[in-house]
Amino acid sequence: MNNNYIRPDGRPVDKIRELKVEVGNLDRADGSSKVHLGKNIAVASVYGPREYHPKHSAKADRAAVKVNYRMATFSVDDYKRPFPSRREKEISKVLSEAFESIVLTNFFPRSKIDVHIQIFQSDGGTRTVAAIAASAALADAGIPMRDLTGGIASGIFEEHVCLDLTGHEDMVGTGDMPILYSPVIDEISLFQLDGLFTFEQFKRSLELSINAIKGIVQTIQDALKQKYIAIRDEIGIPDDEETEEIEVEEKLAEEVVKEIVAEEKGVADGMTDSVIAETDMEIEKAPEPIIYPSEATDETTETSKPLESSIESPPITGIDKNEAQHFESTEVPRDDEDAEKPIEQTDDNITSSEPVSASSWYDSESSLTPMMPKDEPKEKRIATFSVEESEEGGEEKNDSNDSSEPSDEESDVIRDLEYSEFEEEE
Amino acid sequence: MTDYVTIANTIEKDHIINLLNTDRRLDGRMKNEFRDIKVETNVIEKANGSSIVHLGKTKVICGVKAVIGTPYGDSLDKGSLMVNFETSPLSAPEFRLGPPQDDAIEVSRMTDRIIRESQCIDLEKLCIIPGQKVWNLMIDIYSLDDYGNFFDACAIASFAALSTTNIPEVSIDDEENVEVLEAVRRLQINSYPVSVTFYKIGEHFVADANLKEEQISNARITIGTTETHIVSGQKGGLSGIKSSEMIPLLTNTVKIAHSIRDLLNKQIHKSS
Repeated sequence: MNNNYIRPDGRPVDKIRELKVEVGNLDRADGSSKVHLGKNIAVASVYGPREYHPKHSAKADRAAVKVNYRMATFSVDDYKRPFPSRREKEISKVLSEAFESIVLTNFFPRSKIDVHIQIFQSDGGTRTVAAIAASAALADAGIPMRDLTGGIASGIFEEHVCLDLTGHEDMVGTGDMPILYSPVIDEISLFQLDGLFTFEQFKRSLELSINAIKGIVQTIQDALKQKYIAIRDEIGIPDDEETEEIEVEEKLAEEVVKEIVAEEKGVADGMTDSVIAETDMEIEKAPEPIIYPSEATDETTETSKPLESSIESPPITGIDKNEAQHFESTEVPRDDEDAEKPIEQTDDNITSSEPVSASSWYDSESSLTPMMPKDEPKEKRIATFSVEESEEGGEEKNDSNDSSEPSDEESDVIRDLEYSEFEEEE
Repeated sequence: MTDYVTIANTIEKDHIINLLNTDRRLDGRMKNEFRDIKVETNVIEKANGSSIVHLGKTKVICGVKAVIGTPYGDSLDKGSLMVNFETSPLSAPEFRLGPPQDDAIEVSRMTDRIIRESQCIDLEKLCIIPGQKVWNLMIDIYSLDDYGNFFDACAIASFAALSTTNIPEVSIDDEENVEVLEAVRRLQINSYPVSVTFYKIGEHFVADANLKEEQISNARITIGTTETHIVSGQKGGLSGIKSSEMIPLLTNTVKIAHSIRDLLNKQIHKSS
């Protein structure tokens, strides 16, 4: 193979076109993304996990991922007929299967995750662009996945194995091989091939694509991080180095607090009860409760004056685990309105919201779907899933009850309805 | 193979995987072994070319109709071909009436791709009057019995039908009116595309899965090859394939395709 070949648009054989990924560009969607690859433009949105319709075809043990790939009528040189072609149906199907192998579907039994991808301009390799968009949008929606997926097509143009063929190269060329690959789990989730490949060309294509996809996944990751960096900049949080310093200071401060509390405990033992009562009342009317996960679970009875003075909102002392969970569920919608919060708090929010575990799936339809704890970063979540599942089971129930809060009468009505439906089906 | 959820018995699945661990399969085949292939050609007189393919118990019927039409804008001097596959309701209890489901569309498109990309038919020879009239080959496949692996059965059926397709001769008068004559010519075949589908069951790959194996498989990869090239490929199913598994799969595919090609060659020539 001649690696020095320069293609019509000036690229060497192993270079992809300019890739731009942007996430969170649509407001109503749970997750969304916009991807440019050269002239290709794809927009993806994710809704769900949500209830499966029709109910009887829901999967009992997992969620279904339904990818819907569509091309706009003006996206190609000629006018494209508006109704879905066989090609679009096929691509929707293979993409659905590809993402079903990546998404941890067993987290959301009996539900459905809809991924809608619209191609607004096409110039070769749209299905991989669509896949990049879907991957970014799913991560943006906080859907738990085994890995981020990237895709790229390689093919044969004028007897050279080239990466990322343009529309012209694809048409003139004699081979096209789009693949989707997840670098960490080392899995190919979509593979298609058409054209004339020799064995050597095939091997070379595979190698080029897999190398390129590692870079593409990095681009998606950067885009996901960028969303949160933008939020941080908007509300004026210091950048990484400074936050690290603050974290260190915070830890030191916590230790000091613990020491003081330990010292005072013996002296102020008589006080504790009344303080707990006060704080309980405060909790009930607390508009913006603050979470310190470590303390909420560990130090349940301390009355920390230094802590109280360092933050303006009510302290989180004297609460038990369930109440902490209650806070977590009410805490979610708070993200946008905490500009006046002290630095430590918002910072805590930012660092805990790893891009891949953003919170939008968490609070949508919470009563229908089991949930994962929000504050865990993705990697940890996967590694310790089985353990967490058993531990968090009870709390999840609390969570969903708290967030939906149906009165007893209402829930009775709902239950009746469900039963009647059930009987009808029977 | 359909939208309905087939709940294969867990015990049965374990049994199949246990067998595979000792290199055996439910029906006594080796991992890389195909079921018996039987090809009948010229089964439909009214079609220009036709075939019935038995792949074990899986049966499909294919008919080719040559229709005079106008060429596509981007290939004015070429005929066209179109493959359509339908899972007929007579072939399995779970197939419904109505427009083709996504599964069937995927098979259609895969079959279309292997025939088209292998360039086994010279589409330029299907041109009657450049820019105005060409032969369009409509290749329609119907399932007769679903016992797994429609992908390979359809590829064989469409190729067998095409290789026995007769195109009518035409006469063109001065005003460019086309008249179809009685005489026919045999469609020329330039290469032998063969499709091989591997199903992933547990960590094993088996070629040409039967119905039970297909139902419990978690991934599928179909690769089409000609004598010299790899011409089509498609991965399906709900789980991924490791990148290191690709090359071994391909080498196995090439070996199997070679033996199938010999077999088909004999059968098609014998029956036509």
